[in-house]
Amino acid sequence: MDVVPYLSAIILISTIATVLLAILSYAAFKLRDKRKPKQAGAAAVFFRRYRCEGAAAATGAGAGEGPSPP
Amino acid sequence: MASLRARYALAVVGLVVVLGAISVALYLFLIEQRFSLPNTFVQTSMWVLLTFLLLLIGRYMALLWFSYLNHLDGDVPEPSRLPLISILVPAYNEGAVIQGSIRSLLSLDYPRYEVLVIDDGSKDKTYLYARQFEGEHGRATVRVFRKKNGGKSRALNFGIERSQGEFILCMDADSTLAPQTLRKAVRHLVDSPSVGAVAGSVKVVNRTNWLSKLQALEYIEGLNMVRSAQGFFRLVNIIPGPIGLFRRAALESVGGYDHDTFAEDCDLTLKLIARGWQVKYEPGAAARTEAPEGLLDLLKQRYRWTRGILQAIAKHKQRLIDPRAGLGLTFTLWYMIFEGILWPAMNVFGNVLFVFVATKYGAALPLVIWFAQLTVLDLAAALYCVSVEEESMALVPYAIYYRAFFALIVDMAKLFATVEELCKFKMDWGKLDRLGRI
Repeated sequence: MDVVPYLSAIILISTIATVLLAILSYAAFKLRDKRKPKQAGAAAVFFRRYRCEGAAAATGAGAGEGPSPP
Repeated sequence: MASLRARYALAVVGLVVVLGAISVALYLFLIEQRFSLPNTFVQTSMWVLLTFLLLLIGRYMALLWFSYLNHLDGDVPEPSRLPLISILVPAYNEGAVIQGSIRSLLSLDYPRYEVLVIDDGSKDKTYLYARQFEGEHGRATVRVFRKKNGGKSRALNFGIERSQGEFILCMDADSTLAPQTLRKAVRHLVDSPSVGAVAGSVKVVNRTNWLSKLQALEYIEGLNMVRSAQGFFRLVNIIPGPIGLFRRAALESVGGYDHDTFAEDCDLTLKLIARGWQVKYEPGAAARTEAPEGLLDLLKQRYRWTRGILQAIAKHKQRLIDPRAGLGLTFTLWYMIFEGILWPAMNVFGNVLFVFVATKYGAALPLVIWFAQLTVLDLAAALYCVSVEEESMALVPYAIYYRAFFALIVDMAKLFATVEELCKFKMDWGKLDRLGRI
């Protein structure tokens, strides 16, 4: 019995189903994310570079100018 | 140890021989079939896919080989001293897991360490639950801080400023650590001043359904094996959030964590490499963490990871073509682009194109061979990784679903996230709800 046609059919169907599932679940994730209630007054938490006090004191400089590995 | 090494050597050589033999047999069989491919598009796509498959095999072989070499290299002697280590646990709405996490930290096998829990303005009872552990616990001291919500990276910087240890372990509040973690990780740092950090291994604690079991396998095979291979070159490119031990001087030299990416762990690692620090991998330093149990939560996590990694790469983009800051960083950045963008694109392209060609032109046999080859590769790699990490063999059969289902869904999510990042879509942290499994 030639199993190749059956195997290829299984692979084809599972791949197509997985691709569809991936697209639908991504759309569902984005939709859920959009409908999520936003926190009132939530502040942005990015875009301020941290300057470590220890390094700054030791080198007279901030990030990126501290000691390097020996 | 010698017999263990011999076993590993035998396993790897056996694996390479078996994989090589199967691959050659499959290709000889394919060539013998003498397919008449109908047009240039189909011919070209077949060649592209075969090239992709060869690339995949090469990647697997390289990762397995260097991972194996790293294992041989991993017999680091006990350090001359065991200095104070500070463990930082940033927590935001982690009430379901924080006590389990702190409890695991109190049973670590290490003579002197402190635990700093930083509550990042939680709205639940995280702070109250953590406060119950505050004080002296024999070898460990627990201190609990509360600050205004500002994100994980700020919470970690807050902890770094208040910690006293020569080495600092950063972890996630939804993770627990194996008892030997500190002893195993600190060996790489104490007597090796050029090593700036050690990445630990991360394992999934909640293996409750098929999705979390697939992730358990992915963490072992896809993440830990890659870190192990990178560890051979001392160039681990992501020190995972759940477990990373840092030299304080290294953290200070790069100014701690930045706040401008959604993958602060990846960003910090790249900054360390750019600064010339070596980053090693220690499988014995293990964190067990919660994995998403639902598909949408998994996509949410991977979305943040993908965009965060791309943001971290973008910060260092000038180093892609300018290796003056060190070849290590340039190589690492190209590798990350390969793994983060090219690889998922190739995987999705390969699957979709092969299905299209097979459906339209009836090339059923190449399709079956393609999948057979991938499945053999995945099973062999899973077998090796599960053995090396002394994990449950019950995870190995999941390698079959891993390629056919899991990898395709995750890679498609990565591609969508890549497009959104390139288009500069807005995003937020997307914190997952904790399940309280630890």
